[in-house]
Amino acid sequence: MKLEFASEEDKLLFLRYAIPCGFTLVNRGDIEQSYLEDLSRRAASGDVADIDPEDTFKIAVRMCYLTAKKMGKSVIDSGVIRQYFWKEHEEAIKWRSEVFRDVRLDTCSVYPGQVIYSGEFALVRTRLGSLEFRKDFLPDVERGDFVITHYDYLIEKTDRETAGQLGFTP
Amino acid sequence: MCMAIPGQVIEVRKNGVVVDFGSVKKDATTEFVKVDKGDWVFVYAGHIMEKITEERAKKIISEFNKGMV
Repeated sequence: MKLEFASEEDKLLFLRYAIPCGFTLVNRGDIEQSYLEDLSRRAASGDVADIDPEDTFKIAVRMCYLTAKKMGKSVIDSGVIRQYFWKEHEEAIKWRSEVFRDVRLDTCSVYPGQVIYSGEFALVRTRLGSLEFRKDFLPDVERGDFVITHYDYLIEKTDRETAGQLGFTP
Repeated sequence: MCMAIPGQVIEVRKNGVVVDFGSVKKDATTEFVKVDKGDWVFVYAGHIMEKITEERAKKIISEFNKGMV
């Protein structure tokens, strides 16, 4: 079983999608808060060469591996990562909620929005209303930009069309 | 939330297993981890991710029930 990323850039993208829900691992006692904060800082600066995502996010890496297999790919690339976090992640959350109804599906979904104001935080219009997000991974985001969000983080920029396909209505 | 849920393997079939989560029972694949009947496991989206001890499983279930995680 190979769980490889296509490139360092893809590994970084994966970490940016996965880190926002890392606090659940802190709650469960699997990792320390300080470790997660350090990981977040390093994912923000791109300094992740010696990080193996499987050490912390084993399940998400494996889910991406299964997604890659379904897509006929042998490695995890940005297409696989987006397919998992945008689409299949939702199915996985639903599966989870059939067993334990302890989380609101809305809050752990990955969803798009449009930036209304960018200061220390970014105020983003989303399907859940206007919410504040951390700019760690997108420090230069500007008013009008379309973005993908996960928990309280902005993950990456996207375009109007993709945001629309993911359910955002301007 | 990519966090697995603890349960116990109650049946081993040709193409997977059945896991008892207390309130529900669900099928799961054993692509990542091989298991036997009676094993306590972490399952995510229908895939067994890890074998765990009964003690750990029960601790997490009780925390879930308290709404802690």
